[in-house]
Amino acid sequence: MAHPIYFDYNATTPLAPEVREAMDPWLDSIPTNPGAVHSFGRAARAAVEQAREQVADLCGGGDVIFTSGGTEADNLALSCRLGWPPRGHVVVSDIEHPAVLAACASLAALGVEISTLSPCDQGRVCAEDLESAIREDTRIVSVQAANNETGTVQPVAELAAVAERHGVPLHTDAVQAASWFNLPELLGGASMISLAGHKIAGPTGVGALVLRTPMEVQPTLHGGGQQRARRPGTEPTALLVGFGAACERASRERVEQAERVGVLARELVGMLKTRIPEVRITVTEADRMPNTVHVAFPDCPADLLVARADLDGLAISAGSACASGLSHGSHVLAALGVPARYRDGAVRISLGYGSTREEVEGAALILAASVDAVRYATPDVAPA
Amino acid sequence: MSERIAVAMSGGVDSSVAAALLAEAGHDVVGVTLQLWDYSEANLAEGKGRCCSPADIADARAVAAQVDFPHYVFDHTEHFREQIVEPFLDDYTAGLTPSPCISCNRHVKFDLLWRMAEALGATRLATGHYVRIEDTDDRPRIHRAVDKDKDQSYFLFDVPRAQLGHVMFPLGHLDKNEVRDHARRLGLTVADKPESFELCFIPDGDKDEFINRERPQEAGRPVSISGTDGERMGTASGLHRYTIGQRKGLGVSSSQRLYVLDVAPETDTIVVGAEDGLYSSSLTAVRCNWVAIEAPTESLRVQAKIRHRHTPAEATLQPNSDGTYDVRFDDEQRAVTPGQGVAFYDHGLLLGGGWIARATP
Repeated sequence: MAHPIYFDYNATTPLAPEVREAMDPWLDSIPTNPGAVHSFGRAARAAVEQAREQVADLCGGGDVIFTSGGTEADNLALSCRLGWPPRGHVVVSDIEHPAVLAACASLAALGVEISTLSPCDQGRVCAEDLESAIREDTRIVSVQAANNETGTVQPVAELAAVAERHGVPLHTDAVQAASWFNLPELLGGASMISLAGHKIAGPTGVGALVLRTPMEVQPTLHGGGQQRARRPGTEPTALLVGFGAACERASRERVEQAERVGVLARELVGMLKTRIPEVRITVTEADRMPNTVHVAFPDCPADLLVARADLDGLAISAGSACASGLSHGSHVLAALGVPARYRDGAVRISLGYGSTREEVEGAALILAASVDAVRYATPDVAPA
Repeated sequence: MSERIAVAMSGGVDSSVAAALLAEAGHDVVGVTLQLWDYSEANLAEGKGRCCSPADIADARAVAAQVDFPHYVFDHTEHFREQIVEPFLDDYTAGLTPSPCISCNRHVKFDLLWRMAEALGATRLATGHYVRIEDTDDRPRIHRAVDKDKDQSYFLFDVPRAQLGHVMFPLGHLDKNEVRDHARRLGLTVADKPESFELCFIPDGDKDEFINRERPQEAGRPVSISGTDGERMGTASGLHRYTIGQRKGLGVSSSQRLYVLDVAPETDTIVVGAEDGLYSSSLTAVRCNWVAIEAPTESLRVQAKIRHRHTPAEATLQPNSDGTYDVRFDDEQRAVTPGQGVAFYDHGLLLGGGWIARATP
C-alpha cells in the first residue's frame, strides 16, 4: 500500500514545519517556567507573551486564557459566569461538540437550567429561536462557529447580536473555523472564543479561551496564581509558542488555503457523485467549511466503511472521533433531516493544508470500493 | 500479501493471544471487537474481566497497538439485545434455563461478526475459543480442545456448518498455561488478566436481579412450590429464580434435602423433591444442528453433553419423524434442564447438537 491518505484534518492536523521550528528552541534542555523571576523565567515569559498576542490577533484582539485545549476552554467558558455553586440559565445549540454538551449535562446535574436550540434551517441555528430562548436569568449562550462533523457554519455574528441585545455573553467554539475564516468577521460580537492548537497545525495539549469583552472569570482549576489565577498551572512554554506560531500561520495562510482546499473538496464531491450511486452530500458548499465534505451512503454502516477505508489506505471519520474509539450515530445528522436509510452511513472527509489533488483522486477510488464492500454487511441494512 | 484474517477480540487474554500468534506468524491480521452491551448503568465496580466492557475494549486496542495490527470496534448493542438478551429473558419467562453464549456464537460471533470481517476483506475468521478444527474434504471437523478443562466445543454445536468453513481456532492445541506463557512472552498487557465466568451482559453475576430489572412483571409473578405428590408446600415469586437441580433458596422446610425437579410455567409451579428425582433416562432435543455429519436418519451411538460442565455421557440418538431426536442415556443423568443445549460427540469430534425440550424420568 502506498502512503495512507489523511483526510481527517477536523480530528487533528499534522504539526506544520514552521510551528515545529518555532517550538524547537523551547524543547531544548533549558528550564522554561515563565513564572520564575530569574533570567530563564524572563526569557520564557517573553515567549509566552508573544504567543498570547499571536492568539489574540487571530481573534481580532482579546484577553487570552491559555488552556489545555478546546475541551477545557469550552468547559471554562460555560461555567465561568455561573458562580459557585453554579446557578442560572444557559442556552446552547443541540449540535454542539460533546465538550459543550457534556459540560452542560454536568452543570445541569448541579442545578443549572439548560435550554437547547435545534437548528431550524439547513443545520443552522436561527436568531428568532435564540431570541425566544433567552431569559432574565440567562448567563451565557454557546453556539459553535462550525460543526466538527458536518462542517456547517453557524451565523454566529447574527446570534451574538441577539445575545448582546439582551446583555448576555455569547461563547463560540471556533476550534474548527479558525483555520478557514476571518474570525472577527465570522464571529462578530461574540464575547468568548474557544481555540485549540492541534486543529490549526499547532501542537495538541494547548488551546485558549479568548475573552473579546472584559469580564470576570471564575476559574475551574485552582492552584498557583498563573494567568491571574483564572487558569493556574505552569504555562507550557513550548506548547504556547507553538500555538502562537500556529495562530500566526493561520492568519497568514488562511485565505490561500481556504481557496486551494476548497477547490479540492469541490473536486472530491464531483468524483464521489460520479462514482458512487445514491451518494448524498448532506451540507451544501455555501453552508460549510471549505475543507469538510460530509457525505452519506444508503444501507452502509459508517463505522465499517471507515474501517474498510482505513485498511485500504484512507483515513476518514464516522461521526466525531471520540476517545473510546467507538463510533456513535450522529445527532447532528438527524438535525439535518437526512433520511433514515442514510443515517448510519455518514462519514466526514476533512481536507487540510497538506492535501493534494492526487490524494483526492485516490480517496474517491478507495471510498467507492469501500462502499461497495461494506453495503448490506449488517442485518440492519440487509436488502429488503 | 497473505490472506487477511479477522480476529474476534474480547479484550481477554485468549483472543488477544490468538490474534498476536497469527500476527507473529506473518498473517495480515485485523482485530474486531463488538460492543454488545451498554455498561453505563451496570455495576462496573469490578471493571475488568467482562467481555467487551469499555475497559476490555481498551485492552483489545492496546494489544492491537502493541503487536501492531489494525483493530476496530463496532457497536452492536441493539442487535445483541434483540437477538440474544430478549430471547434469554423470554426463555426464563417460559420456565427454561437458556444458554445465551451458544446463541451468541450462532448469531453474533460467527454470523454478524463474520459478515463484518468479509466487508473488511477478510477471508478467514479466528477466535480465541479452545477448540480444534480440521478441514477434511469440504466438511469442517471440530474437535475438543487439547486442554480438556477449557474445551469450548460445546458452545459451537449450533453454528451452521457453512459458517465454519472459514474459521480458525489458534488456541485449540494449547492449554491455558501455555496461552498465558505466550501472552507473557509477547509482553501483552493482558497476560495476567483474570478470566470472566459471568455472562457478559450480567457483569455482577446476579441473574435474578437482572431479570427483575428487565422484566419487572416477572419479579412478582406468583409461583407455588409443590411436592412430587402435588402437595402444595409454599409460595414464592419469580419463576425465573428456579432452575432444575437447584437446592438453595427454595424457601420451604423439609426433613430431607429438596431439589427443584421441574419448573412448570403453565401452572406456575415449582416441583421439588428428593435428589433421586433429578435423574433422567432420556431427553428430547429439538432444533438440532449438524456439524460433522448429515442429520442422522437412523439410531446412532454418541456421547451427549447436556451442559458446559458435564462429562459427555454414553447415549443412543434416535431420530423422530418430526425432526426432533430422542437421546437415551446408558446411565441416568442428573438435572437434565430444558432450554440448555445438548451437544453430541463421537469421542473428541463434535457431531452436532440441539436444544433440550424435555427430559423423561
